[in-house]
Amino acid sequence: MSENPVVRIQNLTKSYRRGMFRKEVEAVDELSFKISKGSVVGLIGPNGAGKSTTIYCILGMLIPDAGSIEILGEPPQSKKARSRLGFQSEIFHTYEFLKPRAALRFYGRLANMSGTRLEKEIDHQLDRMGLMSAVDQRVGSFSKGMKQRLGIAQALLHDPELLILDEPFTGLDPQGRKLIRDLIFEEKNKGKTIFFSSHILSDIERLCDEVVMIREGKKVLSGDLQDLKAASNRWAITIRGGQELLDKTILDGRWNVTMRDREQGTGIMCTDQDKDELLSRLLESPVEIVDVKRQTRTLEELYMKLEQESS
Amino acid sequence: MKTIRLVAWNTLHGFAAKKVFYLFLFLIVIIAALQWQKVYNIFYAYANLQLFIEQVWLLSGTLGWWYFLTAITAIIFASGVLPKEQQDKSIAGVLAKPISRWTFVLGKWSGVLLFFCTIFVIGAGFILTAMIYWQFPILGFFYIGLLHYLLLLVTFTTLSYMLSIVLPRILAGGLAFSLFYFHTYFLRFADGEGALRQLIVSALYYVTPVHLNIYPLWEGSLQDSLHLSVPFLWATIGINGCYGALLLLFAVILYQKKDIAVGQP
Repeated sequence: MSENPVVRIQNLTKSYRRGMFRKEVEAVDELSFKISKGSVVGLIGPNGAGKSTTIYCILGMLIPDAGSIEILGEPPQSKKARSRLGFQSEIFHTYEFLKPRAALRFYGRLANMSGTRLEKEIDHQLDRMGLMSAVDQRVGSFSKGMKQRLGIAQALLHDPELLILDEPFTGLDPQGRKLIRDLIFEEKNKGKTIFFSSHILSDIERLCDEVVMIREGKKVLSGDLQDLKAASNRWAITIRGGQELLDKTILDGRWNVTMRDREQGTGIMCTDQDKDELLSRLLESPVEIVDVKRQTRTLEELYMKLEQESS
Repeated sequence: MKTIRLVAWNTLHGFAAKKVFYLFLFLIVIIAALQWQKVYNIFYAYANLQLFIEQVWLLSGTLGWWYFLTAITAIIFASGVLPKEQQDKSIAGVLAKPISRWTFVLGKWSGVLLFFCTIFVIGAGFILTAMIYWQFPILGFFYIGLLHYLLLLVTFTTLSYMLSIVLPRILAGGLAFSLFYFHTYFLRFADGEGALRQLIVSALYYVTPVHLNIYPLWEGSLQDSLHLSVPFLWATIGINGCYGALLLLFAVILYQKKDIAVGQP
């Protein structure tokens, strides 16, 4: 991983005024994180958590109240920074009167492309996104999935180093989701940095190296996905007998019993850190250890746990 | 310049793709037919009045009405062009590209103006063609009127466009339309009693572009210009030009630091 992050956000704060009485709503509060070069980073959080606000601050469309943002060492409003990034918004909205080739030509020219390079790249992206058969249709007649694919095509057209995708899987059928997933893998293998927000945690888990989880504009956790999952891994220990000593002497209020069953036994849950201590206590006690299993949390379980804790 | 041209062409293309405007163009035929029916009758009935009648009816009626319709439509659409981009999220794909906000604002403005000025000129061209066909003498008045209307169209469209950056769409369009439509009343009411009333009405009068009225020969600045007060005509053009440029400058400055809340009007 490179020393210089591709995106650096420090203490980003952004609030809005909404409603008839212009009530202030804090969308993002002191948010800080970094995105390293070549990584795939997922931004997760419930609706209204501030994911889109964060993305639009990175793109320079929203002006932060406080804090700083750097994209490839430049401020978000810098044209230089934006010439090196590609963006696709949740359900790509473009000019419906255009045909896909004309739409891509428009976006390509805005990204300073022209001539044969542009035309070749348009053909390549249309082919890659499976839109060649729809080149004579207007974008207005496209399905959600087709619009989404066109959006990705325009984001990739100028071969950006950083790809920012806001909810790229919204409205896609399983085939469309697979196409976008494969594409993210392809771009990752080319060394591109990808930052995307999504509600679909299984996709985040499958694609991302790192995650940033936010809730009510605040960072709940961030870091390497595997490390986060490992840190939240648990051990499920099943024992039999020794019930009279179990709660007071052995567990001592530090561990919880998750199951009490005459036939199956008693289940106790512990973390990686205190597994050895619990096992040695159990071995010294008149109990029979039936099973010791490592339980790996999925991102969804981790997310739900954090959600419960924070609410 | 390249970005402005691209955005302008795209905006123009967007308007041209709206079928409603073709119906709108058809209206000029109806307006012209209704006016000329009267002109034609009077033209032969009172030969000595032909010049006056022709100019009054053609300029005030046909061209005036055409200007009135085009300006109202332009005001409505100009107040919605930026909010609509923001609301339907198409702005996100554009502003994420390496372009400056000011080029986007100028590009959109140019596209709106280009479209409505073209519509107006097409209508005026139709009127001119018909005048030639009916062998009506075409005086300089027609061209002066055309030029002046064109300038006012630009100014009011710019006013509406600029207001849409700071106000909700409906308010921006409504305010621009009020200034456009009630301008002559402001002057009339300014003569009344009451210092506060005079102050408010005068303020409204002076923030509105110099206006011709629907009947340019009877009152308003064109009347003066037709009485050979040519400097006044140029002064009017100059004032409106500066006014429009100032509005555009405000629009560009205000948009630079505006939050583009994508998905919201």
